[in-house]
Amino acid sequence: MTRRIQSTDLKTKTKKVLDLASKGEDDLILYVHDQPKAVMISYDKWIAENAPKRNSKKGKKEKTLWDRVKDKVISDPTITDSAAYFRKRRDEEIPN
Amino acid sequence: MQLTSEREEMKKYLIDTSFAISLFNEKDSNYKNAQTKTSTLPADISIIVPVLVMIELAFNPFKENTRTTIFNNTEKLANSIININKSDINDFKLFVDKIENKIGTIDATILYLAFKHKAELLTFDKRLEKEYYNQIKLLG
Repeated sequence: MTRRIQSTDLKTKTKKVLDLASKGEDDLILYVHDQPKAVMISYDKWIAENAPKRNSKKGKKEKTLWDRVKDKVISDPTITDSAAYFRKRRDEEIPN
Repeated sequence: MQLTSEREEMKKYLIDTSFAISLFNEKDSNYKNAQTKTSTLPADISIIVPVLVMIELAFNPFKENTRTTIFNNTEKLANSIININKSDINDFKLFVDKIENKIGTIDATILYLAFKHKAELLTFDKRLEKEYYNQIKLLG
């Protein structure tokens, strides 16, 4: 089955392609009409080549603060409850 | 000018000592909580760390390697290290006078800096967290 997606707006076209792909039609072929000559291409190939990464089902997820941290994690059992430790220390060091 | 304005509007988070340690030490009881919380925050948020927190990290009781690693990692994570300035002193006094449940100097300073910089406090210290939410209620 062939789908024709004629929108020239990349965002609209991406949404339509992803909608179709999410309905299990991944193997279908679509015509891309904003090319100089209409071409046939698979959904997966089009998504991989054209869809903005954050909207792509195969794209990378948005980076989080954890991504700035995760490679720097260490393992030290000296203190296992730092919140309780520093609460006690703050109460002892600085009287009200 | 526009970049400065955008930066000023960027959401800020103030990291307390307990949060910094929990974030970088997988043996900490709040490590998973720190991981969950930071996984919900975008990578490009602004992190501020009070000088007092850096001082506590410098004197934490871990082995020297661990102490240095957590200290350096927190410093690198921070977009800015902040402190109370001379011009803040009167404002700080007024802030402390309004705190109903008297708290210690470090806690009061951290709370003041969080409110001054309009930053959300990231802490696992229950008492500090409670007072932070009390102040939010008081400020309406």
